[in-house]
Amino acid sequence: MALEKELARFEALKPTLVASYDGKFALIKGDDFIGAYDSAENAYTEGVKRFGRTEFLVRKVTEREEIYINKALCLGMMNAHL
Amino acid sequence: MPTFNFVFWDTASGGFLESEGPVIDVVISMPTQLEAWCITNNFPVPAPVTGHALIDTGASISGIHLPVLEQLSLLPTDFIRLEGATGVEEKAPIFPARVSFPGLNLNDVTMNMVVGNQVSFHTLKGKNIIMLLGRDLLKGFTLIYNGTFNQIILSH
Repeated sequence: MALEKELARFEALKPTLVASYDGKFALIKGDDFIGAYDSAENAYTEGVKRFGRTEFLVRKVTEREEIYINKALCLGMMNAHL
Repeated sequence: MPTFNFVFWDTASGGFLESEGPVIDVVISMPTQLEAWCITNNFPVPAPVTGHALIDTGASISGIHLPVLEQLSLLPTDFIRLEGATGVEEKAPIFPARVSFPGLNLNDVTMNMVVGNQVSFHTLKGKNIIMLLGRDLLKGFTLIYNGTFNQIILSH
């Protein structure tokens, strides 16, 4: 899976990150935590600057992971004609 | 606050807002940061992809057809928990993207999080839907859905 290493690293660091950077956006490449930024855009900009067109993780530091809802996408209802 | 009217009516078929849904033109491009990096490093910049976006007030986050994102050489920056109509959760990749809506005179909107998924389909009128426009973008709009007159009104 894409970003497997970065996601594992985030989970390992999560308690520390939440304590220090709650609400900010973490930038992680491989096993390296690069930094925490005020916005996802700033984290992405730094990621592109450092790593170019390669994979890196930008994730909001928060205790509780948000659940998003998109009914049509998940059900495959986009092709339905009633 | 500019206001834009979209009328879903023609002489051949009459009103078609109900069958087509509220659809507007969209152009999807590589984010500006990545485009600048590609230019600096002599990588080709993929051409923007044009299509249509279906306004979906039921979606908390917008989605773009995954092959479109791949065509733009974009890579996921995270995975989110996404809940479907049955309440079942899945892990969905999210991407940064740049979108423009020519019909709204709204260009180069930076989106830090769009879901990459299988969105694409053609409406009965042959419009190629490549994006679901969710509440993450609609929060900046006033939307009037006037089903009686087959019209939507958007202002931002």
